[in-house]
Amino acid sequence: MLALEIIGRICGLPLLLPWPSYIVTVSLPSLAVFGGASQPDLGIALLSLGSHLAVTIWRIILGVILGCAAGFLIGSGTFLLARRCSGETILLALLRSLPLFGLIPLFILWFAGREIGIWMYIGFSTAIVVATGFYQAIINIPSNYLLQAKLLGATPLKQFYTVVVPAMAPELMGTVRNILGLSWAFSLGAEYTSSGDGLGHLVYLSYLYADMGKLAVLAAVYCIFGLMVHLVWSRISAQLTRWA
Amino acid sequence: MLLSLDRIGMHHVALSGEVAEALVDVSFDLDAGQFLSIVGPSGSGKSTLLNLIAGVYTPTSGSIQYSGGKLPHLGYLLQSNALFPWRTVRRNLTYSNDLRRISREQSDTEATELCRQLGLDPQAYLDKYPRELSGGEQRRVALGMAVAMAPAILLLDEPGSQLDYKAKWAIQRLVQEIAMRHRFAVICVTHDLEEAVFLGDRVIVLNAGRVEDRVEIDLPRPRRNELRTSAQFNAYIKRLMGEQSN
Repeated sequence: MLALEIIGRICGLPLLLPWPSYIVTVSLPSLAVFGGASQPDLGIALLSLGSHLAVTIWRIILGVILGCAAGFLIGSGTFLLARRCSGETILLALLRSLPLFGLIPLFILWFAGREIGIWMYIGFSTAIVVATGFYQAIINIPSNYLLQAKLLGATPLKQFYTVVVPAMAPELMGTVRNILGLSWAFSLGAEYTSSGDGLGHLVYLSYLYADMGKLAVLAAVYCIFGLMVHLVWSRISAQLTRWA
Repeated sequence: MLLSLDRIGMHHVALSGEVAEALVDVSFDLDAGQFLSIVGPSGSGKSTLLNLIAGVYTPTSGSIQYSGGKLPHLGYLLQSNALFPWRTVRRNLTYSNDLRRISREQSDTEATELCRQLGLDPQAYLDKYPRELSGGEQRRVALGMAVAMAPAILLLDEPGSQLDYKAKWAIQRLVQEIAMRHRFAVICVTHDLEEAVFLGDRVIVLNAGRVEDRVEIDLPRPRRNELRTSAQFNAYIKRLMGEQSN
C-alpha cells in the first residue's frame, strides 16, 4: 500500500494509477454521482454503494439457490447415467468445457436484458460447477463405507443418508466455497452489460468514465465481501466437517 | 452345523475376457464356538471366500448352507477398518442400533460396555472421532462394530494387518476373549501363519483358490502370548510353512 501511495503520487496520474489516499478521499465520494448527486458526497456515495450491493447480493442468493438445486439434479442424473452406460464421460466433458463467461451474450439475447436473465445466468453457471463437484464427490466415496453399512443391515435408502451424504460433505463444502467466490464473478458478468443496477453495472459505468479510482473502490468492495463470505463459510464448514 | 460350504467355486471374467478362477472346490463346515483360520498368500481367494460367506458375492458353483436355512447374523471386520469418519466412536459402535431405531439411552449403555470390553476407557474414547485414534485403537473400534449385534459368525479379514506386533497381539487376544465370552463362531483369513495358529482350532491352507491342507490345532484355550514360544506352536508353524512353500 505504501509503495502504491509513493509510486502513484510520483506518477501523478490519478485516473490511470490512483494511489490509496486518493481512492479513499476522492474516488469514494465521487461514487455519489451514481446516486444522482451532482457533487462528490461520502454519505450519498456509501448509500448508493450499499443499495447496489444489496441488489447484487440478492441476485447472488437467488441464483446460487436455483443453481445448487439444478446442479444437484444434474449431478445425480450424471451419476445414475454412469451406472447404466458410459455416457457420463461425454456429458461431464461437455459440462466442464462450457465457457461460462462466454455465454453472457447468449443470456442477454435470450432474456433481453431482463432481471430474470441475470438470475438464470448466475443459476446456470452455479449449476455447472455444483453438478461436476457433486458428481466427483459421489464417485469418490470409498466403496468400503457402503459395504460396511450394508453388512450392518442398512437398506439402500439408509445407506444414502447415513453414508453417502456425510461422506460427500468435505468435497461438497469445497464446491460451495468455490461457488461462493465464483458467484461474485458470475454476478459481475451478468450485470456488466445487461442491468441498470448492481455492482457490476457500476463497474461498467466506471469503465465508461475511464476512472480507475472508482474501479478500485468497487474491486475493494468485491474483495471485502468475498473475503467475509469466505471466512463465514470456512467457519461453518470447519464445524460441519470437524471430523475430517 | 452353523455353516457348511460344499464344493464352492467362484470365477470372474477379467477385462481381457479371460476367465479367472478365484475359488475352486472349497468345502468346510463350521460349528458354533469354533475358530477357523484360513491362511494363504495374497491372491489365493481368502477375501473372496469371506465375501461369499457374507453374502456379498454369489458363488458360481457349489452351495453354502446356513443353519436355519438363511444367512445368519454376521459380524465382519473388514481389512480396511471402514469406520465412518463422521461418526464418533460411540456413534460408530451404535450404528447398527441406530438402523434398528433402538433408544439412544440403551445404545449408549451398550456402547459404554462394549468400549470396556474392547479395552478402551469409555470416558476417554467414546466421543473421539476415528482420525483421533491410533491404528490399533481404530481396529478395536472396528471389531466392536462387528460384534455389536452379537453375530452368530464373526468374519475377520486380516485382523492384524498394518499393526505393529504389540497391537496385533492385543487384537488377537481381544478376538479370542470376546468370541469365547459370547460363543461366536469365528472365521479369520490371514496371510500371517502365527496369527492363524494362535487363533484357530483349525487351519485351512488356501492356494490359488484351492484347499491344499487342513490342520487341526490342538492347543489349550485361552491362548496366551507365552504359547507363541512353545515347541508345539512352532511345530504347527513349520508344518504350515512347509505347505505354503509347496
